[in-house]
Amino acid sequence: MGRIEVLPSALASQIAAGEVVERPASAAKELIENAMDAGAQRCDIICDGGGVTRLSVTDDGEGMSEEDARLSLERHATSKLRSIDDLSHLTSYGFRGEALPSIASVCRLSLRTRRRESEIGVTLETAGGTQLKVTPAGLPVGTTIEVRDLFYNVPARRKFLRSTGTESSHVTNTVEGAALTRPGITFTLTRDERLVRELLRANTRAERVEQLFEQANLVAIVGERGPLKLEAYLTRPERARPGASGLWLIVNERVVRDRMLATTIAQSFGSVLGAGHYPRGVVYIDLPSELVDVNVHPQKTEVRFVDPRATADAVYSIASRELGSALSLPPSPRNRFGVRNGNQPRTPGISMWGKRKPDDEPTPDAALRQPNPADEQVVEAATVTSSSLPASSIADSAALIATPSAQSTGLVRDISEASTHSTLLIRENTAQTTSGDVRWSSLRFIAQLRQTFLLCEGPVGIYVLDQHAAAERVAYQRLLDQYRSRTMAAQTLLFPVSVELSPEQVELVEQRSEEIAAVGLDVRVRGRQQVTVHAIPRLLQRASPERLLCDLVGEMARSGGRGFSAALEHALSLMACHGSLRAGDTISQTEAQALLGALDTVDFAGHCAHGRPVVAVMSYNELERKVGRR
Amino acid sequence: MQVVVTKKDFSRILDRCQGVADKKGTMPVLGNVLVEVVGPGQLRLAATDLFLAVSGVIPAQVDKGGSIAVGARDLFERVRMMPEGQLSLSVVDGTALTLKAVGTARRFTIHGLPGSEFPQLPKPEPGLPQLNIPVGTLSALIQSTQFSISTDDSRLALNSALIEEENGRLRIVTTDGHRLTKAEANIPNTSSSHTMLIPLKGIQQLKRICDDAMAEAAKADDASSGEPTLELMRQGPNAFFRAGSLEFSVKLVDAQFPPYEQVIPSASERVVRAPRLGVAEALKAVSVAASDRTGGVKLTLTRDTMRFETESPESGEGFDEVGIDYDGPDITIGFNAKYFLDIANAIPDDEILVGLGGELDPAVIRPAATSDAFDFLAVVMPMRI
Repeated sequence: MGRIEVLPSALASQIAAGEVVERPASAAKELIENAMDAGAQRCDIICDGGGVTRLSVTDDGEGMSEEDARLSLERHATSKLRSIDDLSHLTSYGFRGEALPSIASVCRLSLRTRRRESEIGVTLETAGGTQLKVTPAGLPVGTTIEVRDLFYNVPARRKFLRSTGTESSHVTNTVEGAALTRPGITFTLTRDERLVRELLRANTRAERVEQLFEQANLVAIVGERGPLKLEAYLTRPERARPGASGLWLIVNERVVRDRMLATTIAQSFGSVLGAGHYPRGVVYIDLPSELVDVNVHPQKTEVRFVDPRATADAVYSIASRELGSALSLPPSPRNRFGVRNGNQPRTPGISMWGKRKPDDEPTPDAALRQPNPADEQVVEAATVTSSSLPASSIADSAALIATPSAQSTGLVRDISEASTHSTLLIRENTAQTTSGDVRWSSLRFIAQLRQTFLLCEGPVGIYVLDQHAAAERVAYQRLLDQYRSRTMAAQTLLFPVSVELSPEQVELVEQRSEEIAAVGLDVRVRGRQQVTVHAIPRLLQRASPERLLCDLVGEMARSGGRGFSAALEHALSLMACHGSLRAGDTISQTEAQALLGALDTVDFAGHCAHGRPVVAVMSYNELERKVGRR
Repeated sequence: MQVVVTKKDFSRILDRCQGVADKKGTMPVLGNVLVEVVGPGQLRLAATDLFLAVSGVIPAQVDKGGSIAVGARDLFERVRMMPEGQLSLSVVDGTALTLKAVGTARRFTIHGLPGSEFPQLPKPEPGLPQLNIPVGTLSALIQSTQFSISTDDSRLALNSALIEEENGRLRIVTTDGHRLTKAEANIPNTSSSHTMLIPLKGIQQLKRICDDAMAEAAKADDASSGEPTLELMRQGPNAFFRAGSLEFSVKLVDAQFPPYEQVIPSASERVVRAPRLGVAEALKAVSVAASDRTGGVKLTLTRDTMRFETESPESGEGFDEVGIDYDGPDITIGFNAKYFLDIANAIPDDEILVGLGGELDPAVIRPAATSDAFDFLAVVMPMRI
């Protein structure tokens, strides 16, 4: 007798369920996706006892006939995929035909459905995927799937469930994710008899995001490069959190977890975000379905990009550029998203950007339309990763995402030369009219408060700047500019400062002597554990040379493999911090006004190099309310 | 307390007091000036911020003794509003001072604290050795060095001036770590030696005290009394200065002044003589176009010319030159324009000597004419532009 046997199908389903249905939230996700695929306008979710006792999803979609309903509980039965070719153009959420039977195999499931055309609906009930009971019933159009006693027959799985509260918050999370992907659908979530989410259908993603992040004061950015479109609503850096849990990434209307994308978004904030911190908010990335592969993970929470490098690069360049200017302006108290609306760049129109980047870049049109010869590498890469697909068209699209400069080394990011003029075009096109924008230099400096804050008068409110944060931001930007253009002025010291370092650090100083000199520090090694500093950057001459050197060396040592330039950027921010005007320094009228003017020339001016906000705003409206004028 | 004083005496001391009184500090009492009767016919004013202390005694017609401490600035502003002549001061209830211009209706009342709550000022023990310094000399020494004191109060040694006195020479050295100035002069009949670090605020007050004393002496127009002098005494952590009825004390900075002699080059490779005013004007003009971020100016010595150039991406270029007598190889060196300009302005001579070495060597600037009576030298570290 052979020892190998084919598993009974019920057992096979239960095993498959292990992949798909990990916890109530994953069942909820599958059911909600089915509802969305069925063309629902409205989707009601009920979750009792963390989704274990009862989880029900009701939609008003197209419903199923009795025959379909029976089939839907069979494995690999799906309405969403007919042939392998379809797989590359998937736009529906499900396609494997695994979810429903898997869920059915681990719970008591009831399915009630009616098609619009039929007068009578049907109710199917199963327990553990067997004992099918079918009864006709009068029902509203659409489908309701109710899952009871999840994992009642899989005690092992049940043991691993967390507390009811945790599980229901996971379900809530799933519902929110679904709601973000489809603003056009009304979602309600009833948890233990209480209506906890009611998201009425919204016309735009922005509206839906606002429904979910009511108080968050998000920055909206929008841009595209080639076929890739980016739309993001992110918190200001001061509300960033350690870990990416508050950041929704939605690729082609699918909530995904992608460490690389999340990191890219965080990086595009520059040094404003601390290490390991991520903004909260939502990032929508849309690109042609043939450029992403969603069939990587049973729960489809991971996607694979045909050219991950080019995608990340495009996202980075769009996001950093847009964030840079969005966070540069003093927040206006009036705007819905707390920032300017895209129509008023700091100086009028494109000309300014042209001035800032005088290099002979291709015109926006060229960048959008002409695949550059240099793109061949990408074409190749694309062909390899997607051999089963019509390679040429994909390669073309991929090449469009990767603009010429994306081909060079990773340093490209630092210099951020990738052209994103397209974003500007968008900006101009979608111009809305508001007068919410304020330029820093248009603020009138009134007084210094407690030698810490600068009080300024603006057109719609009062602005209180943190003088240290503002000065630091300016110093940092200037350092960075000088460093990048290799014109760091260095002031020689009368009394060289001797600094004790560890032998490893001294070695590092020796190895990196050229890079250190480029920063404006003149450091000479004196012994195994001693170096002397002979010159420091002119911009930072307030700072103690010892501190500057320790910042730099410490950062270089910490960075390890991260490469010098990232470490340097961070070190510069530290140096800027230690070398700038501090709280407690008095500042004259002229100095203050010069500082305000300088902020206009700086990206991310709204935040110091460590992400603290530079300014607090109070509108005159608010003031008037407070003193009872309104 | 009930006294009558002349406004002139009173406001002269009060002016010094309100310069010392600590206006923004954490101890409100230090913002006050102490007004107290110290003897028959003597009224004393005093103020301190716990680092500096100043007090002065003026003649007064005392009807009733007593003391009070009132806000220095408040008192100063009100006294300024009084007509010249006699002021009557009286304390009501121990905590309010009424200020009245004698013979007029103008009157102020200021609320204050009882004088007993004012901190004790340090006092020198009688019999300490005294050093007499002509105020004119001290004022000139401070004038020509105080600009290079570091304003960074976290670096104690550089945030103060080094005063050295030995063998009849008085020397002040200041540096902010990027430039250094040293001035010295002969003072009469001493055999002692002193070394002390006086904080920036103390130096500024000392300068004003010297200037006041000089102005006073000039007004007195009494040739017989000679140049007024300042008595210097040293006790523990404090230095005491006395000019007439005014006493000023400073808590000395307890830090190590950097070894300044080591950084003064014994000789420069090239020394050129240049007109001070011409150089100052050229520098001032060219620095307008210096990058406001770095203030860097390039100085080039070429045949018979001293050239000043600035360039920066944001402010364009500036150029000027001054004719000199020079016949060596071309030398170019970068400087912070302000450093050079401060020095050019501080030198009391029509011509200066500029000593240069290599591109990263310190530059030495001194007056062309040296005299024992007043010797000046400045070292400026170059800037790599």
